[in-house]
Amino acid sequence: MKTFDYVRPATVREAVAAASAPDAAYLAAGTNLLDLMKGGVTRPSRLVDISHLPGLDRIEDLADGGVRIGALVRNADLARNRAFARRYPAVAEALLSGASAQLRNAATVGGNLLQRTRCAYFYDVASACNKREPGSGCDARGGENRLHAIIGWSESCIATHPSDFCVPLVALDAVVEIEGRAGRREIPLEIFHRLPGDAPERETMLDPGEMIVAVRLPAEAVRFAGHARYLKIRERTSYAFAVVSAAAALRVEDGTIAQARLALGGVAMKPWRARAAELILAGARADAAVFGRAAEAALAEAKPSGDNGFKIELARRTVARALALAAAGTPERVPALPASPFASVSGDVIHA
Amino acid sequence: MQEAFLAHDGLQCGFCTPGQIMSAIGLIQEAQAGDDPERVREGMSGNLCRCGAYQGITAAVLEARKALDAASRRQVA
Repeated sequence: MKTFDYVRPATVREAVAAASAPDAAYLAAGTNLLDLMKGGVTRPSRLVDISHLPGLDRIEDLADGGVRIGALVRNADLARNRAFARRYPAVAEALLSGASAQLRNAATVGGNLLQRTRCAYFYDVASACNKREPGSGCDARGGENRLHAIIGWSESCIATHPSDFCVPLVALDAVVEIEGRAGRREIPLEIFHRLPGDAPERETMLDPGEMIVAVRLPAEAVRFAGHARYLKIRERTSYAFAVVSAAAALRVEDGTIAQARLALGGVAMKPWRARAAELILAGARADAAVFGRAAEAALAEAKPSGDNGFKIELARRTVARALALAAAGTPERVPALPASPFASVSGDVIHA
Repeated sequence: MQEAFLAHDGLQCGFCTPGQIMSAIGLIQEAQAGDDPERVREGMSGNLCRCGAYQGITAAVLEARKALDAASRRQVA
């Protein structure tokens, strides 16, 4: 492993200054970064350890009814926060469906947004990868690619963003608070991650040295709390990344959908908001027919990037089923198998 | 917890056992799983057992939880 400097700043300002050096990287829990460094996939020359910075581990209720989640809040602490889980149940369910208990106890909010793709060719330094080594090519094209992107991919990169947490966040209009040398700014999560285009090495809108300090959810997101679910299809029941996933949130009045929010995971290099589908759902009766039309619209732009055509139909069915689950109502408690298609709620069998 | 693992054959080679036991105690302290075997399995899914002693592990965790009253649950912390 390459040798590197280790810096432990005392303030956000110091952290930003330290991380503005070339090849610097922020270290929080390190659940992704340390693996990448050990494998030689990323080779930072300086680690800026922000895990001891004060004030970034709080979940704060805002005066306007929204919530502000500090960048260092642990996944498990957020998901198990009763007030948070009651108001943003799909976010809690997504968090609990991710990784393992050990990883959820360590991994942070900011790190989740900045985690790297799980594309095997990105991790294998003997393979060509435009993301790891710009201009080297993409061995995933024509390789083992049944789990790769079906939306927003390019000839240079077909990887996906692996986050569960980001999927309901983007559906609920989360905003990312960022601190940089020029001060504080914020970016809607929906445009925070970049599609690969011809520069897959640029994954977010962050400038060098910029640091995520918090994620905010607006007050309006709470209005979906009664009908909000996350559904995640995995190759094993637990401790696996999504093949495809969907976050669905509805505001239902007398059986009619007043407002809908929908986003997909595992389909693109960013959490994918499905606005066309939301428009189809708004004003419609909550039934299987409209869920099917919404699913069609959500995947209208999809095309296979390899041996993954099945993911398009799988994603349609996942969307329709997530919408049906949301329409049925948020369960009192997150199911024993969070976000799983095998989960049963109150003993009922679930069919889309 | 160790006794429950022995009683329920929650191990064969024993390589994963220290980690299983640490996770099991953490699981009981977090008090999210209750007596639901599905929640115990999900909560323990970050620990792999190549011998496949999962049924015994789940049974051991459920029994240990019952056996440990609130006071001794705190004591194992």
